[in-house]
Amino acid sequence: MSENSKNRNFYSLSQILESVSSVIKGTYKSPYWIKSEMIKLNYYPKSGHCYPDLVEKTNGKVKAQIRTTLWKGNYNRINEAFIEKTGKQLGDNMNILFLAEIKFDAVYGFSLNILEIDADYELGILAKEKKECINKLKLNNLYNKNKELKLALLPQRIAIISDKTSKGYHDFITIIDNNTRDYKYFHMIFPSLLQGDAAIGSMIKQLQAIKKVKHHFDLVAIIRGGGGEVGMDCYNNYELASEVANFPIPVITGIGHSTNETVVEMISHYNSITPTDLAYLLQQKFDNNSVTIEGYQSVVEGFVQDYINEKINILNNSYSYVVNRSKEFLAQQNSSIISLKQSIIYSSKIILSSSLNSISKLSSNSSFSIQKRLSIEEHKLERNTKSIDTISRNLLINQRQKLKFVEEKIELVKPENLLKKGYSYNTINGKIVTDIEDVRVGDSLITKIYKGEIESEIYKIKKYD
Amino acid sequence: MTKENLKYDDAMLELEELVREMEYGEISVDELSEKIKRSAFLIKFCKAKLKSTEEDVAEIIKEMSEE
Repeated sequence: MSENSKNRNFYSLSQILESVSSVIKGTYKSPYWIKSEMIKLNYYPKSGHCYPDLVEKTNGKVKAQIRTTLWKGNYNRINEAFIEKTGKQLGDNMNILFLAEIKFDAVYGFSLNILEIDADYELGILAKEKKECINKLKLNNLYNKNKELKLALLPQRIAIISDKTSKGYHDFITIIDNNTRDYKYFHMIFPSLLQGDAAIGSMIKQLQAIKKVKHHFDLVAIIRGGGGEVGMDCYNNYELASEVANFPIPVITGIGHSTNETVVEMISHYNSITPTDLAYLLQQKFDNNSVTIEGYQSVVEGFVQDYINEKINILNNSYSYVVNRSKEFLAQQNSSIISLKQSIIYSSKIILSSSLNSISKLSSNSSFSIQKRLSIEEHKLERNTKSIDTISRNLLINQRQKLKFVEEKIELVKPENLLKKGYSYNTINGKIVTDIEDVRVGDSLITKIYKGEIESEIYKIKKYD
Repeated sequence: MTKENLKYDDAMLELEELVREMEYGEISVDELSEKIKRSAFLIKFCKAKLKSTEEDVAEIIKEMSEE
C-alpha cells in the first residue's frame, strides 16, 4: 500500500521487493533447463553447498554472468549420478545443461537455484571432444605413428609412468621382477598423476623427461589401476594423445578401467586392459626369445657334430683303405712264397727220386766204392732238402715281421699320433701352409701342435731351391 | 664387435643369418671355424642378455639434469 508525502507516492522496500518477487514468481512458475558454461563450481566443504559461477561469452566478451546456488543435498545427489554416468566429477570449466528455479527473495535477492545437471549432455560433450581429438590426430598423421614404431626384440628397459602407491604399478613390477625364469628387466618410475585434468600436464611433463634419456629405454608403460574411474577423460585430451603418438619409442598402456577405450589407449603402441596383462605380455616376449635362441643353439650344435662326424668318417675310411691294401699285398706275397716253397720241395723230390733211380741201376753192377759214393751223395741231398726247408721258413718269418712293421708305420702316421710325436702343421688365415710362396712377412702364422696351437708373426722367410 | 656396443637385436639378426647359412650348407671350410666360434659367442651373448641389464638409475637421473 502506498503512502502519500508531499504529494509523492512511495512504497516500503519490502513492498517493492515482494512485488518483484511476485512478478517473477508469476512469470517463472516452473523450473527451466538452461545451457551455460560453469567457470567455477565454488564448493565449500564445510557447509557442503556450492555457489557455481556461470558465464556466457560471445567472441570472448561476457554476455551474461551470475552466481548460482547448488545446495548440499542436490550437489551430492547430482555429483554421484554424474560420476556414475560420465566418470567425471562436477568441476570448473564445464559446459552444463541444468535445471534451475528462478527466484527472487526480498531478503536474499535474485537467485538461480540449480536442481539438476544433465549428465547425458556432458556425455555428449565428452564424446564430441573425443571424436574431435581422434579426427585431429588422423588429420595430422599421428593416429598410427606410435603403432608403426618397431618394438625392441627384447623389451627389457621400461620407463614407467605411474604412481608408486598405485595397485596397478605394484602388480606390474611384482610380476616382472619375480618371474620364475630369471629374466631381468630394468624399470624406472616417472611419478605422475594418472587421472583428472591435472594428470594431462603431469604425464606430458614426464614423457618429455623420458624423451631426454630415451636411449636408456626400450619402451614407456603408462600404468594405472586400482582406485576409482573418475577423471579418465584426461586420456582423451589431444595434447596428451599427440605427445604419446609422437613419442620416439613405443608407449604401451595398461590403465585398467571398464569404461570405453580412451584415445591414448587407441593410439598407443599396444594397449592392455590391465597392468597385469601388460607384464605377462613382456614375459611372453622374453619366452619367445628364449625359445628362438635354444633353437639356434641346437642347429649350431647339430651342425658342428655333423661336421666332425663327417671328417672322422673320411679319416677312418682312408686309414682302413691303406691298412687293407697293405694286408692284401702281404697276403699275396705270402702265398707266392708258399707256392715257391712247395715247388722247390717238389722239384727236389723229383731230382732225388731220379737220382736214386739211376743209382739203383748203377748199384746192380757197382763196387763198394760206388756204394760209398752213393751214400755220400744221398747224405748231401738230404742236407740240401733240409736247408731248403729252413730257408723258406725263414723267408716266411721275415715276411711276417715286415707286415707287422708296416702296420706299425701306418699307426704312426695317424694325424693325432703325428702331432703327439712333435710334428706340427701351420695355417695362415685358416688355410694349411704347404707352399713357401703362400707365406708373407707379417702374416699371422698359427702352428697347430698336439692339444693346442701357437700364434706367431712371420718376420723372415728363407726359400730353398 | 665387442660386447659393449653389440645390441641384442643386431646379435639376433646376425645369429639368424649364421644359422640359415648352416642349414643351407653355405659355409665354406675356410670360414667354418670362425663362423662356429661367432655363433657360439652370439648365443652366449643373447642368453646372457635375457638375464641381465646394465642400466643404472643414478646415471639416467644425472643425464636428465645435465641438459
